[in-house]
Amino acid sequence: MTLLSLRDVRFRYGPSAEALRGITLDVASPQVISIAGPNGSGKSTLLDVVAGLKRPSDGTCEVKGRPAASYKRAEFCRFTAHVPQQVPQGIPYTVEQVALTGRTPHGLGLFDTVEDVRAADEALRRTGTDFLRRRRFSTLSGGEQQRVLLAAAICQRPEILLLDEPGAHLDPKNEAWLWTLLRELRDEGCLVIVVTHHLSLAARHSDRVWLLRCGELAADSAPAEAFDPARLSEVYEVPFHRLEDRVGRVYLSYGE
Amino acid sequence: MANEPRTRAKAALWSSLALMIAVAVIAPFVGGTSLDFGNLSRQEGPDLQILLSLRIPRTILALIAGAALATAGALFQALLRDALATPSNLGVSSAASLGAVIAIALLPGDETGWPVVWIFALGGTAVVIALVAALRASARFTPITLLLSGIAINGICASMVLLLHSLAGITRSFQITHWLMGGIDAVEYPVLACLAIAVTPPLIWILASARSINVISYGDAWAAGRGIDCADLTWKGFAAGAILAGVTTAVTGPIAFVGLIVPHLLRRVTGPDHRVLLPACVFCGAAFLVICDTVSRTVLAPVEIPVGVVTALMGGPFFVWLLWSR
Repeated sequence: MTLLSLRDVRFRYGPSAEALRGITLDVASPQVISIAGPNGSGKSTLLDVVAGLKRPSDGTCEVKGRPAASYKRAEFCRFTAHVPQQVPQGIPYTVEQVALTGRTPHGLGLFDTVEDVRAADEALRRTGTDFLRRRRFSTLSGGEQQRVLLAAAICQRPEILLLDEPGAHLDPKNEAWLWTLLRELRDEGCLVIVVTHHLSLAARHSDRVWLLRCGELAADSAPAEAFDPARLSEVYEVPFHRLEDRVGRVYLSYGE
Repeated sequence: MANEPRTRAKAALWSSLALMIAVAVIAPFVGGTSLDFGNLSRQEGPDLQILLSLRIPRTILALIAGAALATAGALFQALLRDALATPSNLGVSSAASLGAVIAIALLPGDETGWPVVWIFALGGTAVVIALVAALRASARFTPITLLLSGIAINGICASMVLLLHSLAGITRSFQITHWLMGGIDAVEYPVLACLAIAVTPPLIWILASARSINVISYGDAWAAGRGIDCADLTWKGFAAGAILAGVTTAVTGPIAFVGLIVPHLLRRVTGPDHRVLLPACVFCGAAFLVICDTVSRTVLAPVEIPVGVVTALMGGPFFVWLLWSR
């Protein structure tokens, strides 16, 4: 059974705004997949379709052998966690309470179970945010908030983790840590799909890249092939340069 | 909840329950006419009649109405992520008021033998719930459209009430004014039983949904990723809150501020967790309205101030202080 299968998926925001134009993809095993592409190319829309938050206008999106739309939300979120691009604002809850929202699909009993608390503890520890657990979420920096939201998603114990620009507010140290964590999650059997603009890190840490251009798939391949400078220059409409250091680490630079 | 917040939450819940019980026990013995405990124990004079037929039913009505309005307010504020959302500005209270005003202005009234004002007020609430159900069926059902639709319904109902008020004769116009001021009057025990039966299922549903309500208060994008069917929860929550506010308004008339002041005050004590906040709203909303009703019938006794005026006069300045002291 494939984990994820998209067949000719199209999505329109209106009669003249087609965000996805016939996307066909298959994912059979846990891996780290980066979705890259220019602004407005359909990255977040594709992630939302996979997350079951948007229904394709045409085509099918199947997750674990069933159409994403056929699952009840709680049932779907027991194995899929989605972290949106926008950090929720004005949240009056503590970091621990935010992390515990990840347990919602696993049971709506009024009180947190021992398992809930254990999962939250582990997730906060893994994201390095356990020392913030009593802090009010709204008082954290943008980077800390992103790590706490990631903790909530991990607390959900997903088989499929969908992240929309999770490194947007992270400093270099934390972004390097983020990609290491994503690979750890993959090794534990989780399919990680991440929307990112940080192509050098994506090139180094992803198993596969979906490169989008104007709602179409410009590449679906290993990073070395997808991030070919000529292809990137064409997709992003800016000259790209590929550099490699002595140990084979790839750096992508752009601009004149 | 971790240990420290859990202890605080337990303390807040037990304190609010104790407050409600204390207020409910004391209030029937406070009023313009002093009750003689000797007469009560000997069952002599009018004291027992005043206690059983007037004071206790009023107290029970205030308890139910206060609990329902405060809980509905807290619920709407969470579902719509709007600190000012209440049954009043979502069109529920004004639709119930329009129903009641239609009955007062256009129907023969008590001659029918039916409680037409209550029936029409409930009808007004049912129309709002049906309109929101129609909105739910469309793709445009979001907290914003729900809020804006409520504001539009509120405006239309308020205009219709004004129109009917201006066309009614003097007697009926006075009745309309009196009804619109809101009041806790002594009603018969079967009415109180019906009211309790009507508000209990939505109250239970709301309290049982507190964990989902916590998550939806983060916003739809976050809640949907945590397994919440946001449109479904918003619709069911609106219907539950509308039933609470609608049936209460049908009996008491519109009473403003309870759904605004009580949840905001309690958030400062209990924190934002709806698993604690909502039951605290039940207890403290009940206590608050009993206190307001007691003030309304004692301050200028034997003249009685409409309880809606008291809630606004007590709650308004307090609310402003609350906001400024943040």
